[in-house]
Amino acid sequence: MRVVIGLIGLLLPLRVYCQTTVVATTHVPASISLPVVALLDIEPSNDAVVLAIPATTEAGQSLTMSATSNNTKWLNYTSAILAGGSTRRITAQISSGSVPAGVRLLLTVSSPMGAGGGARGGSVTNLALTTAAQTILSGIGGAFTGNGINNGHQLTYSLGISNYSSLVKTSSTVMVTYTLTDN
Amino acid sequence: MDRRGYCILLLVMLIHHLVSAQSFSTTGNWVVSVPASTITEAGNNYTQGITSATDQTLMSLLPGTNNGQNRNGIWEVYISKEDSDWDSRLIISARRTGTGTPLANNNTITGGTAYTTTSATPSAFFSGRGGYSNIPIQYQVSGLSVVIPVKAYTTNITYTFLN
Repeated sequence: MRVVIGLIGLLLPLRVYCQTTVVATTHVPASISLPVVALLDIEPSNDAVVLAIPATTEAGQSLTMSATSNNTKWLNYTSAILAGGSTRRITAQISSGSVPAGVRLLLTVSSPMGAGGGARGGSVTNLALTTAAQTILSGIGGAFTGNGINNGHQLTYSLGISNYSSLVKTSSTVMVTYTLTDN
Repeated sequence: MDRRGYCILLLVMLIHHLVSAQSFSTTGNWVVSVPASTITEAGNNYTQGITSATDQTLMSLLPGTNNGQNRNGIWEVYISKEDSDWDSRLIISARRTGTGTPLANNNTITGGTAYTTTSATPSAFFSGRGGYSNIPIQYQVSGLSVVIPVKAYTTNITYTFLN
């Protein structure tokens, strides 16, 4: 009997080692930090947009403004903001040159289209641009619009008549600057 | 069996236990900051993940055997993670990029060379037989997006050694 018990005792360690058991665990700390990102551009290029008011062909009629718009530009941006941080906005202003007297330069910004995601800005219609920065999009959080035309916000420039008595034959070049800024 | 016999038996068992000592360890954590220059074009999001060095972690293991080669030297390593402050959109994976150094000529190691996604539930990572030192492991984080709030995210990658 003692011999049998002794053999069982000898085999016990072997039985234990034949089983799969949790032997040990180790922990490897991992940390990844994401950066703040703020990028903004105009697509397909920063080339000039040309707007012209055609002369009317009928005495007594107002100027026809329907042909004085351009919607070939798109606003793209990428924004990554701090956790719990404030959102961003985009402003537009005339940074150089001046609009001819009696004329207004109007800007319409579409809702976001195409690729992209996150908290993007809304839209604005027929905002008269001035030399003062005006908010055109707000509430931009972590977001991206997609790159290139047909992505982001379509920009439509147009002209409006504010005062017929001030109109003279002239041409003018203005620069519009867009700024992505923290609130 | 007399008292002397029992003493010898206990001594044999003790020696067997001592020479069957197991060990399992890792060195090297992973702390990374994604460069802001990763995105160069307005409108774009991140297009790919970020990877660590191929030997970011070195793992050494010794199964419970008396010579590193017998039947009981078979082992498995499982991988999981315990989040401290993590965003579920971030996916962290690991892969084995080498064999390390076997402690005996006919030791074997298989699996784990493709990225294994970590989660709270342990997943089989790789397995083998016999002891190894300095098994290199590489990490990758995917799912990066500017939509995810900017901050440092931390987790603990847990390796579980089964033998």
